[in-house]
Amino acid sequence: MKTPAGIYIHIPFCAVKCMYCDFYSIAEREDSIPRFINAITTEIERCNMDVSDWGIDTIFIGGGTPSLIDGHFIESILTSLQNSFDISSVKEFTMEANPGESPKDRLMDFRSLGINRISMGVQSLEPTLLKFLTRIHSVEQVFETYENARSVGFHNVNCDLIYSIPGQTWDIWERDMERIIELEPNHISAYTLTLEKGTDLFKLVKDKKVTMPEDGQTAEWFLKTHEIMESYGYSSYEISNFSKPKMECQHNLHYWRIHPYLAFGPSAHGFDGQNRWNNSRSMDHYLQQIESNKSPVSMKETLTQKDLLNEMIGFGLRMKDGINLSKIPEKFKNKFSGNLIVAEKKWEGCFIQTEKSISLTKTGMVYGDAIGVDLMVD
Amino acid sequence: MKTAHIRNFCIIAHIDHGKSTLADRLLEETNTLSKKDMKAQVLDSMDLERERGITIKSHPIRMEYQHSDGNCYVLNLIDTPGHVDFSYEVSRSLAACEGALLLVDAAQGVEAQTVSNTYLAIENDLTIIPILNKVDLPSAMVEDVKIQMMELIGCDENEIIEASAKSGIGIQDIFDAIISRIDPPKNNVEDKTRALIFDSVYDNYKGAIPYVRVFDGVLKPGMTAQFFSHGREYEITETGHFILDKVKTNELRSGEVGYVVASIRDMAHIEPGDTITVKENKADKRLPGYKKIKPMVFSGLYPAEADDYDQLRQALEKLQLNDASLEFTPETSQALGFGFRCGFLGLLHMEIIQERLEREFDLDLVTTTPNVVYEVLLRTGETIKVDTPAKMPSTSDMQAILEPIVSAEILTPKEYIGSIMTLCQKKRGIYKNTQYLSPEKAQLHYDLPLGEIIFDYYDKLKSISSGYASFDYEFKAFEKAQLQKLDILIHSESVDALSTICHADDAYHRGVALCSKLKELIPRQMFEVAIQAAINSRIIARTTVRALKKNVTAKCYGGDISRKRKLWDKQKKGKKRMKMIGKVEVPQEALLAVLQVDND
Ligand SMILES: Nc1nc2c(ncn2[C@@H]2O[C@H](COP(=O)(O)OP(=O)(O)OP(=O)(O)O)[C@@H](O)[C@H]2O)c(=O)[nH]1
Ligand SMILES: C[S@@+](CC[C@H](N)C(=O)[O-])C[C@H]1O[C@@H](n2cnc3c(N)ncnc32)[C@H](O)[C@@H]1O
Ligand code: SF4
Ligand SMILES: [Mg+2]
Repeated sequence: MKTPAGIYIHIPFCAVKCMYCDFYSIAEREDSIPRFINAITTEIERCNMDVSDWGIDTIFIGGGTPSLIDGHFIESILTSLQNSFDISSVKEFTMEANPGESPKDRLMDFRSLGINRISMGVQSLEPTLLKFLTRIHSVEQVFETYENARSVGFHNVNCDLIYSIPGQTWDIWERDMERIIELEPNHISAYTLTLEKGTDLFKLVKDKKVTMPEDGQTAEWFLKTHEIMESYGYSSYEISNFSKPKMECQHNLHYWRIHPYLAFGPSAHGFDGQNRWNNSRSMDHYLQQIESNKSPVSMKETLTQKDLLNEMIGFGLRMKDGINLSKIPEKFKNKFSGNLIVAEKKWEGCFIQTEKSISLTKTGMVYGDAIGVDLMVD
Repeated sequence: MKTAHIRNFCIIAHIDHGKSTLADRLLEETNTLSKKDMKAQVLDSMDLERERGITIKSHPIRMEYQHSDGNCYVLNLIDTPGHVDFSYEVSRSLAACEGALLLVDAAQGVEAQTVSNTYLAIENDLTIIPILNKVDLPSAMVEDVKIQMMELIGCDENEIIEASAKSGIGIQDIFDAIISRIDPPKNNVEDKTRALIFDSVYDNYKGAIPYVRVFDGVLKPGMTAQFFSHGREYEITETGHFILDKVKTNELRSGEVGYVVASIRDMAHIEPGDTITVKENKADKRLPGYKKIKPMVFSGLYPAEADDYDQLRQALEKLQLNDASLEFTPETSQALGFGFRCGFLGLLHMEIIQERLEREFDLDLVTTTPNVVYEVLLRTGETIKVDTPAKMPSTSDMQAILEPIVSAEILTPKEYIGSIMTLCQKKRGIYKNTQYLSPEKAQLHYDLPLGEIIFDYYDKLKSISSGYASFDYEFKAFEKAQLQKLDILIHSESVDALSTICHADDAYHRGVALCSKLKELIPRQMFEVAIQAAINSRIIARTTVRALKKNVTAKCYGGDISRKRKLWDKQKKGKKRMKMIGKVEVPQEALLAVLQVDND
């Protein structure tokens, strides 16, 4: 059996930089798009990794705001992928699209290229919060873009939401959720707002101009959010991800199950089962490297068996399925069960154990990182 | 080699006065080491010594020196540590020598261990060669320090060699003095064999290897070694000298320093201070050994993983061979499980032992709050020693607690006398007298409770004297004091490993300080954790560690798994030495919180 695997394409262009976002994205550089498309297709075609025993079944075009890019550019990326890899078994092909920044005809082009899943960055349905988050779309545009996606034949649509935003009340958040659920997207990602170094939000909080919600409140909302989602038939298969039956995001599952994936574009992260690497986080450097026939990779590390195990533990605990015990290497089994015994004492009521897996209860998920660290081996 | 052409000597001084650097110059001058082996303080071969820039172990090394008198001499040098916690290393080395190079840093003058090591050398009848080191420094106080040295040693000014181990000044004079002033060892090669064990190491292949100074007769491979302190016999398979590594020889003769291999697997059979003789030429009287040194500072050492208990015991046994002052007995703590109560000569010694156990034996350890040993007079009239606060009998069973008092000697430039006296008073010191080594340098004598000086006394002394004061102490007596046991409760459970003994006047302040320190050090749990200090079950202070509300990032990380893993790795590192005490996780630093609170 081939190892399930994915391909990630990073398109870093955005109309404006959102105040909370630390993904690699650049605003007001649209003029570099053609040059960038040339570079990324070169990067793909130059890739000589042996992936013959991978079963590539997902592609994810993320960003940034890939929906800003014209269909024919996306087409050339696809052609390069086809020329270089066997993508005939791809089942899930996602593109991130921002409300108001993905006109219907372009969505149609994307659909006709074979893209079959749209991930929409809704974030909030409260105008003042959208403004706070420096989003440039309106609430109406959310619904419009959603309808457009549906009407051009996207049968798999995800909405990204952010909650526990300064100034947000539970009622606002609950109403947002309900309005989105009413649309019946196949998948909902709901992230609590995370403070990331280097963002405008971080500076505002540091300068005490903005106060982040208390952890206690965030934890409470987290639990209630899960309840509501599940009550509407959205299973919480990961800490921040909810889906209708069988509509889990296969691409993200690859990341969390420590499967391999190829990655192209600035700042993109790849993994081959043993090594992790990432490309330069600077568009200019990325372009220069590719154009001078050099590698855009800026970091590469080889994981030890222990690193791999710890990733499996950390990410496993974030998923409903938990840690697959059969994947723990023999030599770490003792150490792991020792850690588990101590952790069970400390994290009372946080674990669900079966013969095959260890997963977290909802309460456990609230402490997911700390619990993961306690189970990891050193 | 004729015995007349051997010189055995050690280098002694206060810490950092340049012993190891002088050894470098001697090794260089005699071409003992090749250029590529040479580096600064080359004898400090343990990682720990290099990292900390101090000598921890005595290091013997043999040199061959071509003297201007036409003869070739064998010089057996032992570089010794200067820190007060390792003075036992010095005293054992002295017994293997006829002479001592006594270094004094010209910028610092005579300091406390200059004094104590000088007395050790005098007690051992060694010829002392006084050397004024670091004369290259602009801050050198040549004249005043010479006065101090003459006062201390009772020598003439012309006996003092001005030198700089760093820039090579005076090295030739030092060689000349070694040859002309230090007596060669007595030639007793015809006598019954007697060799003094002054140190030892454990080698995984060769077993316990004693380091010896042969006083009488000869030790040779093939002979059968016998020991005075037990009846066991071992066949000698190898003898040798110390260059940087061990170098085999045909024999070790009277007057020589070297090592002996005899496949000694039982570590208890090698004890520094014991005398080795041989069956073939058996002596009937042992050499005078050493006074066994009594550790005064105790703490619990526990394996972080309960499974490592046996490994820890073996490691302690092996390390004890190389550190004769280390003592240990098994103990059990409610909080920490099975471990050992270990006795040390001081806090640095404790730290070094813990680090060596971890590095050399690949263990993860948890250390508990150090304390001194107490004597308790029970109502029954019996006196017992208590080296663990948790084992202190209940107040109603005791008539009195006695604490160890040391007589301390503080050397200081005279301008700091006032603030040092204030410090000693705070530490419950009793003033004895003041003497002057020179118009500038005073020598204060105090009786101080050992329990008051093991923690931060030394740091305080250094900081109030801009680094110029130094001190040395020796045990004097056990004396009655108003002492109380301070218990710490975490989440309503009394934690034996955190109990301390303190003076009644300090107890309240100490309890408050400890609680607030612990609050900083104990990570937040899912529930609120109360931290309380109690005396005789009466709560005197309380803090709480608020509950952890959330610890998970919900944000999408895309494919950047490395970043998350590295974050986790970092958190994991910080938790290496954690112990569960009931339902609460307590890190190593919390167990040593007492060391971090200001003990004033
Ligand atoms: N300027 C100057 N510095 C010196 C001289 N001798 C040693 N030093 C410096 O003093 C510091 C301590 O030197 P060491 O040789 O490690 O001192 P030590 O006496 O062996 O120290 P311990 O073994 O820890 O007691 C080092 O930084 C040396 O470089 C000297 O003659 N002149
Ligand atoms: C890679 S981003 C880009 C998606 C798209 N450009 C957009 O903004 O709609 C994917 C999602 O991560 C989430 N996200 C980004 N930064 C976040 C933060 N600081 N805290 C929580 N969620 C965040 C948002 O929900 C966002 O839709
Ligand atoms: S959140 Fe999306 S649109 Fe905003 S800067 Fe980040 S990638 Fe661009
Ligand atoms: Mg030294």
